[in-house]
Amino acid sequence: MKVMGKASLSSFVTALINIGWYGAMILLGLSVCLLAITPWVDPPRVEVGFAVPAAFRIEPETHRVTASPFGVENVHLENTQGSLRFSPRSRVAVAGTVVVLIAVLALIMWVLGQLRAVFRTLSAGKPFVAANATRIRRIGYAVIFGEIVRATLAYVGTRYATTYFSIQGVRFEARADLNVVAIICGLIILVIAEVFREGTRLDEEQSLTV
Amino acid sequence: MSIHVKLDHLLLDRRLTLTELADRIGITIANVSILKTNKARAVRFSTLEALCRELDCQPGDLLEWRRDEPTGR
Repeated sequence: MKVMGKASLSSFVTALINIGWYGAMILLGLSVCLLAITPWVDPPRVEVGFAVPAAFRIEPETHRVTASPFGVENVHLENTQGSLRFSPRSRVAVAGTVVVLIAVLALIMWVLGQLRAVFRTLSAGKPFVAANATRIRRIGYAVIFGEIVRATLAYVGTRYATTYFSIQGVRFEARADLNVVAIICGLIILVIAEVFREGTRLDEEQSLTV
Repeated sequence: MSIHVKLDHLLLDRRLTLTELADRIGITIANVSILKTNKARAVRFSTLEALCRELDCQPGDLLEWRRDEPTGR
């Protein structure tokens, strides 16, 4: 299978990234339009979906878990997660949500833009260009930064859920839930960026060896 | 770059053009141009040998070390 150059795997991935980039651009445009009309949105009358991440523990006293075939006892349902979906009652909440959505979409578009540029060089069959190392390093930082932001937002959401919501027999918990695998992936991408930089240096040296 | 390739003088002495030299030593004119303009990072022994053979010279006639000019304000 041809990996680089025209009509190769990289050109197929480039097409997928392009679709993702244009999709994110359309969503970003719609979000900006939504933000612009927020002053005229009347939340109690217009249904605006709003999801807050929630982590919870089910009280074993009210919700007993049984496993009759095995005869086990003291079973607990742990690390449960979900979303609390509701319609907010204020325009500020709607606007705040849209601002967060715009920021997330802008970050996704920026990362996809960097990926597009990298994959364009792969499709052209010239991966070792100086800018690629910088682009890949930016992607690595974005993955780490994005995961930290996601974990922070999840913590804020779960903290919000513990403060303002209650369900009988369910105890909401605030969790940071940082995805270590995503952070490690970001660090690996940073290392790959440096490998690219070294590859670019060697390629340039090779091209200037007569 | 401190190492300079003195191709200009040798080509003038031998009454050869860049294209002719490239044809004789079997490398592209782009590569000969890289040599001539002192942009080369390295020269293969095979290229050096071909250059010496076609220009009838020694490696020392082709290469020259020059002290870099200090970059002052």
